[in-house]
Amino acid sequence: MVPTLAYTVFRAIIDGLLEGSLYALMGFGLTIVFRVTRVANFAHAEYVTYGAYAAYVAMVAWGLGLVPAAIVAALVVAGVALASDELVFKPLWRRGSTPLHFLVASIGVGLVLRFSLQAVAASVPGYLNIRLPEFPSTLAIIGGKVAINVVHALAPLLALGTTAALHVLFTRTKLGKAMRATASNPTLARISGINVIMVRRVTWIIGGLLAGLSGFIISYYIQANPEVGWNFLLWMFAAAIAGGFTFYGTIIAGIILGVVGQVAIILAGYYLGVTTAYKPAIALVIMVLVLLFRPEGIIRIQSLGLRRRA
Amino acid sequence: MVDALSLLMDPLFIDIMIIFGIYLILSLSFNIEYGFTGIPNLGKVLFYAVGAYVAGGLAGWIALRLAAFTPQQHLGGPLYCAYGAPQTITEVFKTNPAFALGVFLLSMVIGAAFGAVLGILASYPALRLREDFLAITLLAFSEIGRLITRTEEWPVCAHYGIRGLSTPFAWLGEYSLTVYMFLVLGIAALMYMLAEKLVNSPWGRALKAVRDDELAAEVYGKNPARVRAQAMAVGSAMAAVAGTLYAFYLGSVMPDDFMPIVTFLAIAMVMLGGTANNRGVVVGVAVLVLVDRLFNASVLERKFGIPLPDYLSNSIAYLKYVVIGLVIVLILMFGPQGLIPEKPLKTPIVEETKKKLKESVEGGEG
Repeated sequence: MVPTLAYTVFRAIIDGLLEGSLYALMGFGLTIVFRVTRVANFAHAEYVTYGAYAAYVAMVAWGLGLVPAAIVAALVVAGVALASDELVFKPLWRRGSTPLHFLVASIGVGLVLRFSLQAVAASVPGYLNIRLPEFPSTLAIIGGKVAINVVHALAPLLALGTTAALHVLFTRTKLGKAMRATASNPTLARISGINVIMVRRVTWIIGGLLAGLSGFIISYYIQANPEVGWNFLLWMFAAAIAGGFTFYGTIIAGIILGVVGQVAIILAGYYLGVTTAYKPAIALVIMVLVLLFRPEGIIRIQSLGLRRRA
Repeated sequence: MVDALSLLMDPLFIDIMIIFGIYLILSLSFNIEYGFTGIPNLGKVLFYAVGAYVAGGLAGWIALRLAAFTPQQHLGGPLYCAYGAPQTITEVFKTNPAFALGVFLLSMVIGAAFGAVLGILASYPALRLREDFLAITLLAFSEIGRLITRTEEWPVCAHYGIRGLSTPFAWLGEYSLTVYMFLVLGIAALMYMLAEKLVNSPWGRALKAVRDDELAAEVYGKNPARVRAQAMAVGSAMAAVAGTLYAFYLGSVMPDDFMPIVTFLAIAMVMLGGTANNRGVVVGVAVLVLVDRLFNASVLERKFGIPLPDYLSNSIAYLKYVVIGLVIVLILMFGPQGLIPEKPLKTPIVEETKKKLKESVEGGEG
């Protein structure tokens, strides 16, 4: 007879993997944009929300299937991300703004995106709380208690697939190498003949694609509302910061953060009587501690073995 | 004459003026930290909340003591969370002028002290982190604070909030809000003068020195860590005073009144008016408070008789934040200095030297 707590913890791990994959996908977008353009982008949270809504509109209004809806979400958000760079961040960068200005500007962009969506959602009936019309089907029920559904498999697989694809991009393609060069030294990259404007665009598009996919998963798995992305904001920053704003570090830190967050709050509730309302505090506390005591991040996986090949 | 009187009793006018006063104090405090010292305090709303909760807790506790209140049903948390407590608190405010005024002054002083101490504590990361990470850390602080106030019964009544407060002039009946409006504006004016005095003092120059070049400031014998801590202490105490005024005006203190959006509003006000320029802040606050209060379907429809189509009346409350976001972005893109740019500080010695130079030039010619 397996005790109930074991099942609860097992469920927490499964849910944590799902959440962690989302933090990884979102945090990765944040990291890549931050490394290449120095924008600590608060609007990234809003991209996720837009992904959720784009998927919903694609399925409900246009009658598309699940997979096309996911693609639509990714593409729409890539467009939104690219537009916010072209309209706001690139002009600011041209006039030599500081990283702090970028951050404040991204708050402004986030407000515009979030509340214009709120305004639309408030005036169209049925858009304040959305969930994709197709519910994820159950794959397996373990021990008669813990149901694992499609999303539990989909999110980690997507995170893994993305990581693999990005690994190939960064190590095997000219474009990926150009992105890494720009990330580590923009001036030198420019002198070496890298088209930094092009690199910038690709960066925002990749960040947007990943945010769009995360948004799709969220509205597939739970309900989404115009604030859903904002609620994830500090989690994705926590993942990126714990990963020291390195590409692989962020992904690993995100997944760990998801699992640790879920398991810790369940254990704290079981043994200490802490309510689950404090779950966001875990991410916040981890983030603050990392920033104060190890600002370079806990998990840094910087090199990609390129040195050997050079 | 009649018109002026009716204006002074008009709820919308009073509301706008009081909110203007409160946000002016809040934005001035943000300006001291961000504009003059370069600390992007995205956790501003935390210190604002501290003032409000100190006011709520003190007023509630003392009022219930005075009324010898015993709850019929008490589910936990402090006495002022109990069922029936808010009505008793309001009653005491209405009948006991000495209490109302006394508790107002007391909570301003204690609130400011709490704010200052918390500000010094929060300045600790300001010594170690780069600006953008500092901003995120302070935002995280304010969100942790909000989580705690949402969840804990003790001492803040969780999501139920502390209710039943009133203006310190509740015993004046229908004139209470008008008198309170003058008080808030008076305090805001005092705070403006204080802020001007501070930033034009040697201490104010130290703030700017630390902002512009930390190393140089250190060479000239300023301790950047201490200067930042002082700026945070002053700014947070001011924010707490604003919070106290807000609590007595609104009559209740609820966790969800203290979302990061309040901080963002203060940022937009400071940036619109002019970073590191107190006069500019007054303009920025005036403009955005009008936006904040007039983007309201019931005000527009009932007060001014402007009919709104359905889709607008549902969404106008959100559109005001779109406007605020646009203000932030457009100011950064097209005029990062704001409406009234930063001016050199008024330094007595410089003024005198200029005068003497001018005199000597004129004397030379003659």
